[in-house]
Amino acid sequence: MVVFNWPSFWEAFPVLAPGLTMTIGLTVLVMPIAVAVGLALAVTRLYTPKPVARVATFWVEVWRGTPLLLQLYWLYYVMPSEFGLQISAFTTVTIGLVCNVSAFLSENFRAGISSIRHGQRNAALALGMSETRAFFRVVLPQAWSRTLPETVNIWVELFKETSLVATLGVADLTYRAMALREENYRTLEVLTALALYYLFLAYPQAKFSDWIYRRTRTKE
Amino acid sequence: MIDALDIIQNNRELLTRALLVTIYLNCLSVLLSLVLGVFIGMAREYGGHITYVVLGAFVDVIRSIPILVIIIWTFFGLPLILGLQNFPPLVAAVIALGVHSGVYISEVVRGGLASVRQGQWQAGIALGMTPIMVVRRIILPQAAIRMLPPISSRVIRNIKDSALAATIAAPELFWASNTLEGETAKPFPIYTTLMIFYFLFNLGVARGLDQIYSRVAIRGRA
Repeated sequence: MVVFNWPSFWEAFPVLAPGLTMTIGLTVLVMPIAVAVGLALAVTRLYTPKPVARVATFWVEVWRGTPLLLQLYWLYYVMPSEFGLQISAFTTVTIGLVCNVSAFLSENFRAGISSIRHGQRNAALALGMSETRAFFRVVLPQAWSRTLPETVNIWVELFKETSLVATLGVADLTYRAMALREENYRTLEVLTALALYYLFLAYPQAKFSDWIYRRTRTKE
Repeated sequence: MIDALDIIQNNRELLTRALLVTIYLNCLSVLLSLVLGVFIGMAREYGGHITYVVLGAFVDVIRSIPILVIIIWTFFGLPLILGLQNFPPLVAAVIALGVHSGVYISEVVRGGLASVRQGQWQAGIALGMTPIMVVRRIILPQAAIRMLPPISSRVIRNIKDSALAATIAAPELFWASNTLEGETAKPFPIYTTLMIFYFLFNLGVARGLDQIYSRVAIRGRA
């Protein structure tokens, strides 16, 4: 058993703290964009002609079926070399996370929208609403509350998955921990502090997610 | 894509080895996660209040920490605690992935066990079976079938997460691809091929598990 150096452990917290902005900021930035893109993908798959819907399905399956880390690497290395796009690591990971998360969200939304009975849409049309209005005012609000638990769950997953951006040098919590570890070699102390940061931040979110799940289960 | 074929051709040995590593990394970690998942799930369901709370805390802790951090912590931190030298990255990856997936599977197991109706218990006890027999012979077989779909999506998740083992230099496919990218400076063919590989591999595994489920699904009906 090695000696756990408590001072190094406590000192790690303030050093990692600046990484919080990136970790939380990325989550807050990516999620709303991903919700919009995910909704657009779900609508495309449900309401457009087959060839278009098929393309959207393929797109979603690719992002869902491959590792996120590989997706980020692909974007980071291939975009500049093949398409001459010089974009920053931050932009790359934002795009990658949006594509990945929106694919998962779109499946969720698609299931939610299909679960709303056709009668709802028909009733809205009979009341003189246009197709678009019926979708936004009648179908979507109901689908939204049904998909909320899974959406919150995906949010929590996203929060944790932002840690992968460290591998491309984006200065989030994980990146700062790896950097500090290489500086002071207090591996166990620094990595434990890192794990605790995530634990304290993600635990309330996970519990909130569980609570929403329970709440909706008793309602329906 | 000609590049891709060339690169694969020239590095057949490295890639074959890496593919095998990816496959057994996943087999071992999934096996570990099933053992852990069934153990934790059953202990929480039948083990009384204290077991429920203690194991629940463990589940919540692991669930709140990103898999990347778990992998890094296991590789760098665990050998320090255990006083091990030369801790192989592959062992760290198996433990990290197995524990992470196992915790999620334990929740599936718990849900599956709870989904079997009370009447099944009572019927078993009425026939003179011991509680352990009832669980083993009546509850678990029915629950296991219902657990299959969520477990198969966990397996897919495990395969995707296994690429993270590259960050601790476990010699699996993603690590091998990064090495080749470093040597050839041809990211497009390498990473695209790897994308296609993971996509088809996951598709195959998902289809296979679906097939198994559709065979046995009828026996798991409530």
